[in-house]
Amino acid sequence: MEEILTYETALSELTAISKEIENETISVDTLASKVKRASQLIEFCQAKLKNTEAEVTKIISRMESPEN
Amino acid sequence: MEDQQYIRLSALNDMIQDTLSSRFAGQRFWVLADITNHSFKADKKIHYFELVEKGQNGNGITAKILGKSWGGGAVRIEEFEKSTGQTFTNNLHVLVQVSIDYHPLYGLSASVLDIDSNFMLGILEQQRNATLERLVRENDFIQKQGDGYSTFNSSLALPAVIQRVAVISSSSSAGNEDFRHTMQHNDFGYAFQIDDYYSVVQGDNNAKLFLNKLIEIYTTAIPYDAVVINRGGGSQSDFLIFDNYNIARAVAKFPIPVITGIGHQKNVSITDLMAHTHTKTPTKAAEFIIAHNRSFEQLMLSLRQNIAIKSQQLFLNQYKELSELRSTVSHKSRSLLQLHGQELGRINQRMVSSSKSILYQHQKKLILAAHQLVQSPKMLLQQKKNELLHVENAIKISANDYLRRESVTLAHHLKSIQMMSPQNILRKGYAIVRLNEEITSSAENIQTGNEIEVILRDAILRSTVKEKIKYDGRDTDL
Repeated sequence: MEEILTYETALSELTAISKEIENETISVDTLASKVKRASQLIEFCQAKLKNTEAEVTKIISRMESPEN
Repeated sequence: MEDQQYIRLSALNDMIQDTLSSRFAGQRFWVLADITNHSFKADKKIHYFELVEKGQNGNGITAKILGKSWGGGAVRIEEFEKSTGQTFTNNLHVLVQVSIDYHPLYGLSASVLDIDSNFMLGILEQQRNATLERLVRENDFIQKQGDGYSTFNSSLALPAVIQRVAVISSSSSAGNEDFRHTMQHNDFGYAFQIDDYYSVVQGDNNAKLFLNKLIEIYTTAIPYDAVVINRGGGSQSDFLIFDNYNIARAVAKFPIPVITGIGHQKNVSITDLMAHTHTKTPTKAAEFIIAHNRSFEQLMLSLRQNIAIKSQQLFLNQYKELSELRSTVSHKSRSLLQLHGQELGRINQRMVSSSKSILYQHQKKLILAAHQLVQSPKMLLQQKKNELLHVENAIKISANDYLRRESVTLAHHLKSIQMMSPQNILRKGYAIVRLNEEITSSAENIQTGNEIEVILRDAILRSTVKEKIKYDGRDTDL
């Protein structure tokens, strides 16, 4: 099933995992899977950010020179 | 015609001058008049103005003369301003002392030599005030606010961008040309659609014409962004139309924002006060509109810049947050693992050391047990040996005792036996009876007639039983 992930939900999940790890409330059994999930989320967020940034930059540059 | 006499204009003017000076030289008059079109050359301290008189009804002017004042007159005016707090300016109804001058080049003028401070307010100003009061009194969409006025028109919001403009001006107005030129050649390349509505914009009697132009603009139903009223420069008296009650009221009520560019430097007309925005010249009106549009563009530009900057900041912050999260996750999970590893190590160590100590204790016990085990058989053996030795000794002792005792007993028995031996018994007189070769002590089995042997000490008697008599043994009871 394709997961419907938004930047916001990804970031909040990521933050939650980070807190869990930080507060040491995570069990060793799930640590690996959680860290793996965190890395996936980071990758997702990075990609989303990069894409959005590129898009926004394009739009802004178009905004600044509307004749093109 | 060719024979006609003529004189030079200067000769004519000289004649006028002579006539006037002969009539007016050295004479002074106190005159009641209104000041308009006043200006003051501060460096030379000369006032230039017009003295006017208005008709009994309305704002029509019935008399007018150029006026000036310098020297002593200007000093008196200064004193007048000081004593009354009122600036010597347009629309002032004054009582002034004048002398009449005529100059062949500059014409007729009245020189103000003195001014009566008691005539502070001019009738023009009084009328103006009366008009303003009436406007406020009779129209709920006009209110006085501090020094200014708030009207329905002034409360309208200008569109963000003004592009379609209706202009009321006179067809010949240079000021209107300035307006159009300024609008169309603005530095920012803004395009405007300017519709002209020509009217006569001077003279109080043309108020109706002007009013009709306003109504015409309204009835076109064209969605104008603003209506501009333009009027080039001119003398003060030409602007009386803009103090007209009906025009002022119409402007105050007009549903499209009105911008005035009525060219004068000194006065503010009532129409100016009723309008949305008033500027001092048509050019300034154009500049106002351009500036208004420019400020909108500036807003757009700054919004655009804001968006660019803010989005950049947003991205930076998000990148930062992400990288912080990443380092937190990787660092903390590593340290968590380390922590668990250390915990495991500690548990392991505890287990090793405690199991070692258990083993050691068991070993100690075992060694002890083994030691005891080794020791106890020896002791047991020793003990048994000792016991054995003891028994042996006891046996030795008791055997000897026993033997001695037995030998004593035996000796005793021997003696007893010897005493009880049949020979002895027989010697004592007892006999032994034998039946069928067997000794018997009872006569039970002996029957009469049986052969029995009676053994005595020195002989055996063979006999036959003749008789059996019961015997209880009392014979031996001695």
